[in-house]
Parts: sequence; structure tokens; C-alpha cells
Amino acid sequence: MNPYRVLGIPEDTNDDDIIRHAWLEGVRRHPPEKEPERFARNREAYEMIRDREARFRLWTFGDPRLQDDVDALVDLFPAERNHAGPALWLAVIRGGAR
Amino acid sequence: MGKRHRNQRQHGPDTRTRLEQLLAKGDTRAAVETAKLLVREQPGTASEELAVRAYAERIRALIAEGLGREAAAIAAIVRERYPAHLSPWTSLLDDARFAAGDFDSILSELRDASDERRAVLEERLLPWIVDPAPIANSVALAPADPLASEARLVARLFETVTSRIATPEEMAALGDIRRRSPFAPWKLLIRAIDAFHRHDDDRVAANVGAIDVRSPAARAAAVLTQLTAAASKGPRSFAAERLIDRISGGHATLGAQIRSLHAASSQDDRRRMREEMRALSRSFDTLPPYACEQLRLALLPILGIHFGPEQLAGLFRIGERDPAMGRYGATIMEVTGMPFADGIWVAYADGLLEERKLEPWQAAEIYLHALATAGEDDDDPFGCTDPTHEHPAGEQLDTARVIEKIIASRPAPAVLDRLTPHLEQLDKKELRRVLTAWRKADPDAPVPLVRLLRLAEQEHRYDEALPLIRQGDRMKTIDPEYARLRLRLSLRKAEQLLAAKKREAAASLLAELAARPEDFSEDVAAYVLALQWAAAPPAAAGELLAQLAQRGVTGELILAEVTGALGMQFALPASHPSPEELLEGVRRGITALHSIGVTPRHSPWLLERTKPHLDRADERQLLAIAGVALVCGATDLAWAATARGLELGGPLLQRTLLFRAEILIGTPADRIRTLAVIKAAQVLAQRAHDSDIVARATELEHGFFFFRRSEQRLSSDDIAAIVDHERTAAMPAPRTQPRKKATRKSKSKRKKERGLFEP
Repeated sequence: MNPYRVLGIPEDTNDDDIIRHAWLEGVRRHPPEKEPERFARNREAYEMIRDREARFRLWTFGDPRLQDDVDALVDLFPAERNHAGPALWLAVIRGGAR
Repeated sequence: MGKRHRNQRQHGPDTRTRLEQLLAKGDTRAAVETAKLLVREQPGTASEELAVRAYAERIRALIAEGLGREAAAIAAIVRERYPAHLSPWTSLLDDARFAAGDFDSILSELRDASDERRAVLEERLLPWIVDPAPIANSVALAPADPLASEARLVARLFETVTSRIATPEEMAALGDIRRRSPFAPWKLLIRAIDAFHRHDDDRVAANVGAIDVRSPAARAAAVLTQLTAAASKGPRSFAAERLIDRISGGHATLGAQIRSLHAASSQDDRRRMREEMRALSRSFDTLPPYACEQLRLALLPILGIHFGPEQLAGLFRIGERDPAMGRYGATIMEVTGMPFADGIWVAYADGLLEERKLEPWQAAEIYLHALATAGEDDDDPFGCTDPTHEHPAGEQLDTARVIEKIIASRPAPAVLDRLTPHLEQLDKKELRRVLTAWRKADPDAPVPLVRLLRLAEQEHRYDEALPLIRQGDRMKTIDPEYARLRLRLSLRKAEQLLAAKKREAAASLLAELAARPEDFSEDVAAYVLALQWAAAPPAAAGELLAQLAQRGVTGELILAEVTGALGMQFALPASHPSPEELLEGVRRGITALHSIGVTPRHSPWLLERTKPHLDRADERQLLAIAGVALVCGATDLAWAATARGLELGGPLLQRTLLFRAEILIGTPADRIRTLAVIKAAQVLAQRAHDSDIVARATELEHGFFFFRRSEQRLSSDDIAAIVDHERTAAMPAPRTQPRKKATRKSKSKRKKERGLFEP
């Protein structure tokens, strides 16, 4: 999990207040009674980076859950969903599957 | 040899044979060239027919490769050159035209086609629509033709959904496309792309699954499946790769590279690992910083097993003088379970701290991490899992020094509180040093205060404890262990003062205690009262004695213990309680004494009074009597109490059994019998989660020189048989000779002689 991405803040955020604000915003958008899983994920992300000590530990020693868990590691880089425009799509449709 | 044969020897098989071989091989490009040669060399119908077949195969191959225009050009040549041989290939030649986007012939026919014919023609179009634009713009089709309208709609919406999020109104227009239209798969594709960008993967899957696989739109559907299913990388065309990379921001490829690197590592394929890592590290500069660092920290240990530091630095594009190298090195050692990772972390923090590249609070975090790493290392203290994993003597992490570094680096309560789990690893001297430093750094912290009090109790340093207690009182410490230690240490100090005949000092200390009656129970208050009586001048003693007498058997027992311990010849006049009052009074007195760390030894005469009434005692009363009787040497009473306890059964049966075992150890009983009783007590205690008894039983068990750990556990029937036997068995005659000195060390003998509840 990338806690910065989960909370929707830049990865160089180092301000406890900004992080807390993002967490509270997450709670407002995904309240525990409606989206318990999303809420839990937000909370976990917040705990990972809530203060400078937690952030230092995360950046220095790494997230232990990523060791030996390829899926978790790949999840660090969730594929974006950019619009590619029609030309690339048509190239695939014209060119065949291979 | 004839000319033909000479020619064959010079040029291999003849042209016709070569052409047939090329066609069989699927080399259509060479086949067309050979066909031209064949027609020149051997003009005639047969050669022309074979040549047309070669062209047809070439057209088919070009269509399959998506080169429609090239296929159409060749089809035009064939039509022009070989009009007499076209009949088997008419459909293929039409396909070539469609593949080039030339639908004019079929679209013209649609103008006046009946519904049935229209259905056939549209069905014919279905596999060839790779772009709606040619049909939308075709002049061969009437502008009002439904196919033309659908083509224009699909062209517009396809551009929309691939460029931005479409509005619901825009998407609603797709409802106009007929279910059997050749654009129906395109309608589903457009909906799937729209759902994809709205992160609605279920709707993507539903639309993709409904697309007719004959339609070229299905090729795009395959890409959508790969993008949403997080499936491992499947076969992809160059165009599909480019599309996926553009959409995913390159991350889909990155994910595939990470998986591939892991696979190479598990196969120990160093060459492939190196290649994958080089490819991966090229992305490092473009990756978001957090994810990039986590990727490095996760991959370094994997590659650290296979490559040396220099190779790793190269693969990860890290300068060897980069300060991060120390951190990465420690990470590799820690994650791969190599020894001394804890020490490497400490050295890393020390170095950076000295160079002022690290703030003290950051160093404290690293030291704490080193302590935690050392803790993990201690899980396997004998290096059982890895014979090379041993700490040579003198090279173990100096936990006390590291804790002192943490205290010096960041004496903040939030940090110091995290030291608590690591204090267990220190010996008493180190612990005292560390706790003193902690208290200096954070004078209001309750943890070091309580720990120092605990140490003072263990080492009987009561003088040191009193100032700590005064400070604890000033801090209004509410830790329950503080209250317990405060009481016990104050009582011990008062006893010490009384033994030294310093009655006034003792009285003063006891008065302080008595002023906080909320700290102890009513029965413990009787003990305080008894000590106050001992410290009081004769004029005040009478009143205190009267108060003690009011507490019945409990007061009698407690006073007997106090006077016995102080060597005073005094006892309350014997009371005449009912059997129930006697049994309960004894139990309460014993319980109160145990709670303040006093083992009753001076009132066996009082215990003996309970003997005729044991059949009325409950389980807890029997346990209290048996325990003290054992310590006082009243073995008969202990035996009788345990026999009655075994008869009663109850939830504390394991405790009764263990007392019985302790009695048996002091008699010449069969040692196998004794061991069986211990094991029965152990099993029952495990079932009841009675950890004290499990520990004590294990300790006793190990005291048997013939003890061998057996994996076979006693069954409930076995235990019932043991209990049944012990309940009715007579006590073996006590030893008349002192037991032969055990071959085991005196330490274990001393432990065996200790009572169950003795501190």
C-alpha cells in the first residue's frame, strides 16, 4: 500500500496537519458505517505516516509487509487509467492480437 | 545425363516443386517471387493456377498481419493478370478490399437490399470493420441509411471515450445501435472503455464478455481484460504494448518486470535477474519517490543473496559512497536473517550522528529498530535454524548501551515508553543503570520508578525504595503495581526497623501506611495493625491488641506470624470459633500474608486446629491449609488436606495435585508415582491455563534425574486414575534419614523445597 496515494497527498508531504486533514477528509468521504473496508485502509495509511517518527521509520526501514509479497509490491504501482486517444486503440484493432 | 537433370543438380529442385514447398512452409513472400519465375519459365494454365494460389496465400497472410492496403494491391494485380483463374478466390479477393477499408461495393448493394439481403451483407461486413470512419464517410451509402448513422455515432463516441469521460447523455445514444448491426460489438467496446475509465471493472467485464469475437473490436477487448484483471503478461502485439503503457503510465510493464524478477530469483537465474533489474532500475528516475524507495528496500534483500555489494550498487544505481548504502546493507542483513544486523544498524546511526547527517531523534528511531531486530534474533538463541547464525562471545549487541544512547538522543516519554520490552534483556546492574538514566531524563515517568522499586524488593534494598516511594506519592502514581510495591516495601522496611528495635521510626512509617487504607484489604490492614502493635509503646498497645482480637482467627494468625518473625513471645488468647469460622479465618489470614509477600511459618498450632474439620473445608481453604502446612513441615495435615481436596475435585484440582506431588517428593514414595502426579497436575494446569502451576510442575519435573520428555500426553482417564489412587492412598512414612544428596546442583534442590506460593 502506498499511504500517500491512499490519502491522496503528494509523496513529499511532511506536514502532520496536512496528513491529518487528508485522513479526516477520507473519514468524511468514506465513513466506517458505509465503507468499512475503505475506512480501514485509510486508517492504516494514516497510521503509517501520521507523524515524523512513523514517516522516518517507513522511509528508513521500509514497509515490512512488502518483503516476500510480490503482489503487495506490484500494488505499490497501481496502473493508472489515462485516456490514450483513439489512434492507439485503432492501431490495436487494425493490427490484430499479436 | 539430360539437360533437366543437370539443371536440377545445379539449382536444386525445380521451380514448381520449390514453390509448393514454400507454400507448404507458409513462406508466402518467397512463394510469390517463385510463382513469377514459374510463370516465366513454364507458361501455361497449371503454372498460372499455382501462381494465383501463391498470390492468394500472400493476400491471406497480409490480411492476418493487418496490412489490408498491401493485400488489396496484390488482389488488384491478380484480378488484372489472371482473370481466368479467379473463381476459387473471389471471396478472398473481396476480403482484401474490405481489409483495406474499401466497402463501396457492398455498401452500394445495401442501398436497395431487402431486409434479408441486408442482414447477409452486414454479417459479411462484421469481421472487417477496423475503423468506423470509412463507412461513416462513404458516399456509396445513403446518409440516412441506419448503418451510416451507426457508423457516425460509433466514430464520434469512440473518439470521445478514448479521450475523456463521456457524459451519460452521450452514452445513452448508443441505445440506437441495432443488436444485429456490425457495429454492435463496437457499441459494447465503447461501453467497456467508458466503464474502464470510471473504474467500474465489473461493467468492463460484462461488456467485454459480450463482444462477438469475429469483430476486430474483440482485439481491443483483450487489452481491456489485461488492464483490469491484473493478469500476468499475456501475448501482446507491439500496438497493444504501446496502448497499455500509455494508459497505465508505464506501471503495468513495471509490475510485470517485478514479477519476472521475483520468478528469476526463485529460480536462482542470475543472468535473468541482472537483466530484469537493469530494466527496472531504468524506471527508478521516473517513479514516485516513496514507491521507488520501497521497491529498492524490498528488492535489495532478494538480490543481496545473489550479488556482492559492488554489483548491487551498480544494479540499483547507487553510488558506493552514498550514505544510503549503510542502510541498504543493514536492511539486507536484517531481512535475510544474517547475524549482527542489529549492530550494523547501531553503527550506521552512530556514524551519521557523528557526521551530523542525522538528527538525534532519527538516531533514536534507528537504535530502537536495532533493539527490535536483536529481539527477533533472540527468537533462535541457539542458532538452530542456521548453524552459521551465532553471535560470537563479546559481539552481541550491548542492549544497555543502546538503551542509554536512546535515552541520551531523545528523552521523550513517547520514545522511552518503547524501551519497556527491552528491559527484560538486562541484568540487574545494567537495569539499575539504565533505569536511573531514564529517571534522570524523564523524572515523572512511572515505568522506571516502578521497575526500580521492583529491583529494590528483589535485592532487599529498602532504604533505596523509600525515597522512590515518596516521589511516587508526590507524582500521584496510579500504577497498580506501584501500590502493591509501595505496600510491600514499606512493610519490609517497617519489619527491618522493628527487628533493629527502632520502634519509633517503624511506627512513623506504619502510620503513613495506615493513613492510606484504600491501598490494602481489610485482612492486610490486620497485618499493619499487628506491626503497629509491635512498634507501639505499652500504653497504646492494649488498644491495638483489642482491635486485632476483634478480627478473630485471621487476627490471631497474623499476630502469631508477626510475633514469630520478630522473636516475640506473645499470642492472643485462643479464640473459640465455629469450624467454618476457623477454616475461613485461616484461609483469609494466609491469603493476606501471601499478598504482601509473607510466607506463614509461625502458626502450625493454629493450622492443626483445622485438621478435625477438613471435611467441611472448601477447595480454596484446603489449598491454603495444605500450602502452609507443607512449608511448616506439618506433612500429615498437608496430606490430609490434599486428600480431601482430591476428593472434592473442582476447578483447582491441578493445584491440589501439585501439593500432593510436593509432599511425595519429601517422602520415600515411588518416584515414578510422583512424576505421574506432577504430569497430571501439569496437563490439568495447561487445560485450565494456570500458568503458575504449569511452570512449577515443569520445574519439578526437570528435578527428576531420569526425566525424559515424552510426547505422549496423559489422557483424561490416566489423570482420573492418578487422582483416584492419590485420594485414597496412605502417606508413605516420612524419611528418617536425610535424603541422599541429589546429583543435580543444589539450586534445583532448593527450588524443590520451596513452597508453591513462596516468593
